Amino acid sequence: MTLSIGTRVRFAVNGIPVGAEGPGSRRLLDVLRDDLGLTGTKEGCGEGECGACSVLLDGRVVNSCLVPIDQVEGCDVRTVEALSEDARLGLLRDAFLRSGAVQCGFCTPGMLASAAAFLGSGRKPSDENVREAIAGNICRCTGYTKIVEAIRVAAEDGEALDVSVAAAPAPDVAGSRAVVQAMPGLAPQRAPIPPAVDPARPNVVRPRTLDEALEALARDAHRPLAGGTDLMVALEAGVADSSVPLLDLWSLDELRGIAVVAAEDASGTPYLEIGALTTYADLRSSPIVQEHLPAFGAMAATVGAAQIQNRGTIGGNVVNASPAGDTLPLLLATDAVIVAASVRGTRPIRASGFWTGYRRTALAKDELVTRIRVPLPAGRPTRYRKVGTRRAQSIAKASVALSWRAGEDGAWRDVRVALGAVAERVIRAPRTEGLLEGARPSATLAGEAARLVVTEITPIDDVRSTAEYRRHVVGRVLRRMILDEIAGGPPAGEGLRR
Amino acid sequence: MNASRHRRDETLETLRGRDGDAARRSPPPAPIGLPVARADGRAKVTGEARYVADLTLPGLCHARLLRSPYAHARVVSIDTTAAAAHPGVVAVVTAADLPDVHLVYGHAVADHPLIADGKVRYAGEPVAGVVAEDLATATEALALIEVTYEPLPHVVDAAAALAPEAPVLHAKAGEQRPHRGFEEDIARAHPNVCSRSVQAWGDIEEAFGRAAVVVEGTYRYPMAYAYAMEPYTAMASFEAGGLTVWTSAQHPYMVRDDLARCFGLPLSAVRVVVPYVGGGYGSKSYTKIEPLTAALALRARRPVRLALSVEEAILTTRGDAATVSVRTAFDAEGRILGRDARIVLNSGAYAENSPLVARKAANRLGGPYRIPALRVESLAVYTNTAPASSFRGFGAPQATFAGESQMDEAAARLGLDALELRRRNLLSPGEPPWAKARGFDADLAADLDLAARELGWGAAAPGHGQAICVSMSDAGSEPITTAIVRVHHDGSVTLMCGSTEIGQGSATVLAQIAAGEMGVDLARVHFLNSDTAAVSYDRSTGASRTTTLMGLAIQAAARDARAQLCGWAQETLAPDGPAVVEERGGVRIGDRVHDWGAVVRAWFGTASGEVVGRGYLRRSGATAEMPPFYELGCVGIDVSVDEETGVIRVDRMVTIGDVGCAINPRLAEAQDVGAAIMGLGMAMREELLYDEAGNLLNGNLFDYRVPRFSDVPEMRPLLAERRDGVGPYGAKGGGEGALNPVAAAIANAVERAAGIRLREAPFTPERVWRALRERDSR
Repeated sequence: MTLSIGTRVRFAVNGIPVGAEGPGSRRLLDVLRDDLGLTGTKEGCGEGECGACSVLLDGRVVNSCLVPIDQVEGCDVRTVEALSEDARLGLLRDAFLRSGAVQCGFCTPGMLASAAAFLGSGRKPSDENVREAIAGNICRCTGYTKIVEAIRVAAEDGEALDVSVAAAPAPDVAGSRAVVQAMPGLAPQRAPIPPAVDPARPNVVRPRTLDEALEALARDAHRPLAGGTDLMVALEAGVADSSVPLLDLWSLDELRGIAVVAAEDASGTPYLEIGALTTYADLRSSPIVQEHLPAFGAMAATVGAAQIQNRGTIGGNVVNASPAGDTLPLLLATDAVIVAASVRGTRPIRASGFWTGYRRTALAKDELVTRIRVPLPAGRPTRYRKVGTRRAQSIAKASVALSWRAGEDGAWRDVRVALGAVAERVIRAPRTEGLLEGARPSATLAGEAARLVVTEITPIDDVRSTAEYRRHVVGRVLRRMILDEIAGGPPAGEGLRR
Repeated sequence: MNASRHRRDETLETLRGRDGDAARRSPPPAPIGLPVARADGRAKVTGEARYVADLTLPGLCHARLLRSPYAHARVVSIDTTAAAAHPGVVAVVTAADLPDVHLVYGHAVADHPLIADGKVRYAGEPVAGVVAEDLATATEALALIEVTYEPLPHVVDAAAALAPEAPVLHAKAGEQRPHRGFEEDIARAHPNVCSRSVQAWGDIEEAFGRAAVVVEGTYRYPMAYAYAMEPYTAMASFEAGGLTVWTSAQHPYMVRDDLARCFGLPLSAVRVVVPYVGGGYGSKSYTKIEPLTAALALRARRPVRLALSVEEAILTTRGDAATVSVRTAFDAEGRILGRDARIVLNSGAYAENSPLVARKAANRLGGPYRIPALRVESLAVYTNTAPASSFRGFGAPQATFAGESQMDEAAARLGLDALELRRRNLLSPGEPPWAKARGFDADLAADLDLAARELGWGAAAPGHGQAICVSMSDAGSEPITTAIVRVHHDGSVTLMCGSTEIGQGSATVLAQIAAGEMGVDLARVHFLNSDTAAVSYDRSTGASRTTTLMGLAIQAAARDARAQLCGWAQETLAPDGPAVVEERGGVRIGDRVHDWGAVVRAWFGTASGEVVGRGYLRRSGATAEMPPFYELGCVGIDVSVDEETGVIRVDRMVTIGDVGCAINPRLAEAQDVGAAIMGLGMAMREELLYDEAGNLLNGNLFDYRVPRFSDVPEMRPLLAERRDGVGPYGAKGGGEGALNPVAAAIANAVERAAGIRLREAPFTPERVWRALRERDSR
């Protein structure tokens, strides 16, 4: 069942079938640059922040520095070199040249990948949408305005020329793409055989089923790997123990999916069941989420940028247990259940008991998170806000989730206030909840809640801000959320400006 | 053509025609002045553009560095035995392994050992290097090196470093290297003073004695990181008695000079090649990792590549943090009587280019104003932090933040409109800012008017604040530059320059100048640059000098080529007359026209040969006076403040690029937008933070946040072209000007929006919130 040392991972790059050797945790970026000589894709920060290494993976933009080669098996990878046979990319290239969107050029290949993914998404090229599409790509030269202009020009030209903007066809590595002609630059630059064992790179075990994964976990120590957005950074930085093999869950489709399910208990309260491997992008684009729990979609939109949203998973976020984890306050505020599985069976763990300390959870060593269940009682609004240095693309400086049952008398009942990044773990604010319980929201009450909530949190001074400022901000955010509800409310999950 | 692009170009034309008298003069020869596409654009959008890390050599080895965990320590011993014995390791190198190498380099003060030599002066300083067959092996071997340190007292803060009992970084002063422009700066009042510059004239006591208003304050500009997206990368190879280094450097000739000195080689045996460069902004000027990479290659006896990570690049070079204490005296009408200031730069562990930054900060603190009495003392101070050096703006952002903040503070005290106060003090065209300086080469009053009109000065929306700030930099550096223009026998042209294309567009602009000067199609001009063995000398690519100074050298080289060609035409095609008449792209003899290619073929007698035109530039003629030109900044800003969170929202920015003549208006405009957004980053968020122990707390891209798309306001970049610069067709440099006034403009606009005065950048939400709280408690 496992990929043994030296096994080739097979995938297609720019339509040409290729294989890669070495530990499965090797970065796609290194395989592209070192093995295949495709040096158009640049290494910038190596930690998923700058976007210079962005490529298209099955039509979605990803940071190739965060993608373990093991997860590329059978996939279709497109790099800047490809793009000559791609009409969309051709338009983009021309638009970048004509609009003056290129200066030093180091960000350009990644920028083009994000732009191509955006054009392929069929979304309207509004200024706001374009900015969001490229939010994961840094450019230090241009000040960005020409890049936005270029992407809009390419979108307009694409419409004018009637170039299809549909997403690329599903990959079929085994089949027909082998007919694409070889391209210059594909020849390896240097010896393409990396060491089979790389001390800096753990080996990867890839189970075919959940049961296989659980058996592996019961047998030996493994580190579960989902989208890799945290773990790949830790490995690169040398802070994760590279002697522990990775258990790659990425191909376990049984851990994906979003559905509304009726509870088996007497209440029959429906719940939203979210597979652990559901990405932020999945959450954002799910009509089910939009209908039943829009705050989740709004939250997902504030996490990283497209590259991270396409890879980061809710299960990974839950298990990572960062006090700033984006999904956690919402899971607390909705009283969600985290389903853990092991060879011993499955058990539900309530969110209120799941995070036990700084980056600690109630999971046993042999357990995996498989599903998240979010109850959907009728008449229960849920709101989420995050304050960072920016609306998105920022680790949460503080985040607030608020949920209540609206009584017929206008009073709030069963109020839950959950807070992120203000203590060693994500927490509820019971005294504030008590204040709000059974009360009708008012400006006075909002002010009182703001004053009370700051007494319930223990934020820290760090390089981003002081505890004092964090306290203040959490109070103001909660106050504003309550005031907004009185006024009819802005869209849920809307962060404060920037 | 697309509608939006139509609009853009019309706007450009309208403004160029509207402003100044440029439109009334004859246009420069095409393609000069046209927004042609970048020469390097195609390679960059296809991924064909190769940067240093994309190059390889047969037998290439890879290097990793072991860095000091201590801010200040004696290196007692280094045991490399286990690392050297590790399979796959080719060489382990410490200072002790380099007895044949001159370890210490530095173009201003030679104080920087290429690898720690008995002492480390900042956390992160390289102590040993491992060369291995692959990076993983090198990384593994690093852990096998045993270093014993004896920690020493350290100092992180510049003010603390000036205390009498402060730990001393350099017991012996580094050798002062010849470096024209700040010969007077070597006095060391304290052993931690790396350099001291004074700019002074007039009677300062008398000026303050009769002042109607004096404004006084201390302004802090952050320790910032330029963040070129491509980290420092170099590849070195010794072969055939010489050394070749491929590197991401802005000044290949300066790097060559340092390498020659380190390795005892003649300049001709050192070749520095600069391929595509992923951004510079000053951070890749002068020598960085090249001597160390070459030393590793020397011991490895193999070619070596050293590619730093972003984290390591931050530890290699940063910008000078500044504390500027300044007071300015005004008379009752708002005329400046005098300015008295002290600038203290936190320059880090080594001098690098900080002495020149200190000098320039002193020169630039006066701004573009007539100041009867001025006294500025500017210190570059050693601290146990990563070395500071050149960074876009070069002392001007630090100085302008203080100076322009004071102009608005004074306007409020005097009850004057802030722009009116500036108008009363601006230098007039032709007026030198200080004795022996070149006359002022701009009309900033007109720029102010243009910015005011575009911003809608005085019509800020409720809750918003506006400000317009200006800056002046004595720019251009030394006018020491050469160029070669070769005209081939088919009439096409090869342009050979030492200027480095770092994204600013020099490959395009310089080719445009050559094409215009030679009268040939731009597509027939090819540009070769930044290879010290292949092209001729250019002192540097920095200080916004390339278009102006290399442009002049190219003009001279083209003139030389044309003069030779005219002579050849006379000699070969019309030895007995009639007189050859030069025309665009060739000569006319009687009623027959011969293009340059025909002249070359005629002179050599067959389809062979070429003419070589040479251009030299030095302190002589039009470039005799210093500075070669002034770089101007004029930035208008509209902001609002979220009183709940302290978040400043910058809604609009207007920049006036006073560039004399935009050789390529699109590229000139693009420079201004990029510079303004970089300025916005430092004003709003960017700051490297050290803890008491001397550890950099946020030395990575995750914690050190540079502007992203979501931070960019509505931008309105305008160009003012009055043909008043010394360069080709009146050009003068740009690219820094739009950065320099940004912090002051935001601070002044926030003062109008929220009634708080910010004197410490960056203006983080928390700092703003604290200022708001203080305001409310008053």
